[in-house]
Amino acid sequence: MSEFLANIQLGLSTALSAEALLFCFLGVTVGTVVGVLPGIGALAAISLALPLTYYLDPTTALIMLAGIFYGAQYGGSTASILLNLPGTATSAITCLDGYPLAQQGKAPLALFVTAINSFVGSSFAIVLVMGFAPLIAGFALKFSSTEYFSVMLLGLVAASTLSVGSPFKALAMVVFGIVLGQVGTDVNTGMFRFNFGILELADGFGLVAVAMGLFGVAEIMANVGQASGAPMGVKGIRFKDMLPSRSEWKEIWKPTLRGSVIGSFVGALPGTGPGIASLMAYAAEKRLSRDPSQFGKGSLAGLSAPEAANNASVQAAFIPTLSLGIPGDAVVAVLMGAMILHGITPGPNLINDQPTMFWGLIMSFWIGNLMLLFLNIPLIGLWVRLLSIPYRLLYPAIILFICIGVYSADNNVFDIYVVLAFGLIGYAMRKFSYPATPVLLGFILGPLLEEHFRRAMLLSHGDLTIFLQRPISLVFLLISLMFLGSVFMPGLRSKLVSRVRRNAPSDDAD
Amino acid sequence: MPVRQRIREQIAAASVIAVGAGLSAIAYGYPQGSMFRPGPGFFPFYIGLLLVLLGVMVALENRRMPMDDSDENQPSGMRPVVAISVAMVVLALLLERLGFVPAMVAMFVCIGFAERRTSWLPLLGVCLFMAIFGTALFIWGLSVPISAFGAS
Repeated sequence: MSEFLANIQLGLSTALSAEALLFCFLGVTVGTVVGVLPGIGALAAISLALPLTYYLDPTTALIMLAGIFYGAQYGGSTASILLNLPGTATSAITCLDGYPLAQQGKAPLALFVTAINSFVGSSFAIVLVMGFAPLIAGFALKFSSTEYFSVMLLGLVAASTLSVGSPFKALAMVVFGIVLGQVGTDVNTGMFRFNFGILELADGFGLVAVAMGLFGVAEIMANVGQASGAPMGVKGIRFKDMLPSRSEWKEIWKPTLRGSVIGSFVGALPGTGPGIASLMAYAAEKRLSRDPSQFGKGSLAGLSAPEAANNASVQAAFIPTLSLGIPGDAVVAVLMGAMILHGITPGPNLINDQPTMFWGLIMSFWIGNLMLLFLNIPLIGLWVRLLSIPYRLLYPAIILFICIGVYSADNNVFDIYVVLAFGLIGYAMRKFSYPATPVLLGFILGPLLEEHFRRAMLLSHGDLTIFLQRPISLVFLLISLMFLGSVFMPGLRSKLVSRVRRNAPSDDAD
Repeated sequence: MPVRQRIREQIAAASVIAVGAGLSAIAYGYPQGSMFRPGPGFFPFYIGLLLVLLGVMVALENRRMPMDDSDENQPSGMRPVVAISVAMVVLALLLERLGFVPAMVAMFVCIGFAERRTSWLPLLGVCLFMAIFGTALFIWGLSVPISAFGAS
């Protein structure tokens, strides 16, 4: 216990340093902005900010990048409520009941409630991260390459089978991501693979370029020329209008807690993100409700549960990332990429080797969430005004940022072409509803998967059954098999998903 | 489901299969190694085969599934896609030759054609703002090695 307190103290001293506070604030503010603005998500913002953090101390860099991630979850609901247009794909569910509330003139109330839900959901999950990440890491210290291969496989399978839409397409996209990760130099032999004689590809595709293309550019291409909604006439939101009444508090507290639990659980699974978490929370709430007909007409329960769930899942996604080195979803995958670029390998040793970073990051979550509460309640008017900037003026600037951002990562124009290529691929994928999140997970985990496979083969003298002989690995493989089996028995899945499917166009985690 | 849409879906699935087949074909030319010591071609070869298999599954699923005619599956105009692509290529071509400001102005002009009716004046405003803000942020602030005007 005293060790735990010492760790918290260590974390606080890191997170409360002037530099950490400044960059935490910067991160959550940028996160709120990109969350509020439809058409640019946390993933794009983090990829853009990534090259800028090369100059920072890795812990500070991570604090800021993580701040963008969870900050965006707060902001995402604003556009959903006011424009019926999700600010981030994960807040699509929030439209269902948030927009009807705004139509009834209760937009201030809805904005207040989602801020509170977000805070409760996050807090719940952060407590879990503090408890479980060190525990799981301790357990994982015994892992060899065999176990790592199996648990990564589980993460990839879970990511693709637990998503909305065709599981085959999602599985194909995971494998496509692994394919992309094959380009570059083979680590074991130093041989160039699949670089088609292009020198720039000797190091493989850049993470930032792939992410920005698939998520940033593709999204813009798909959005330009589409009609944008006009913000609801909310001028001068008064604090008085925001506060829920006694009976309204009663209505929200249980769904918020249930959403937090569901979100934390889903988020902690490797490979599943906030999109599916809020979907499940909404479905569960609707099933539990005494009057399901209220859902979709401005139900506070239908607003609260998914909002709490997506924030909880975002924080809980750090459990597998920080303890196993397996990202919880695409955005955390990019964060993990950022750690690797900073020379830190996420995995079970991280907590022991880098206690300052681990506990500093966790404590910064608390600080960041407090800042967000402040940003999203007293300052909400500021963000609402941001929504009146028309998209057609915004996106040219975003494209410029993307291009210069990827250029600055390596000072090479070649990366701009890579972004464009992935933008076109991502655009086509979007048109045919192939999800982009699994591509990114496959891309980041693919090389690790191969490395652990080859190492496991070396250790077992080429015996493939090693994966079945080691009990922990066997368990992971069996769970993967279960997920794969669920693809062929879609009854349960479709029941859960179909009701809200129409309103949740994509499950991308940005 | 409209026939043309179904054909497009199958073309998408076919491209997935083609990528997998291509990967396996190239990987086959790399050293395979042995099970004990897998070579650089071992893993990608099987990954490619797996992708082919999944592409076939998607194609089979497409045949069976009645697709909904939601807006999502309708082709929207290619105009923004082409305009944005050209804009990015132009930026890439000019950035190191003419400098940041000329390259980005050219890019904004191309982007102006993404929509049928562009209000050029506000776009010009954004362009001016980004020229100043971008120069301050990227060149002065983050020392990205490009010049505002002229080759770098």
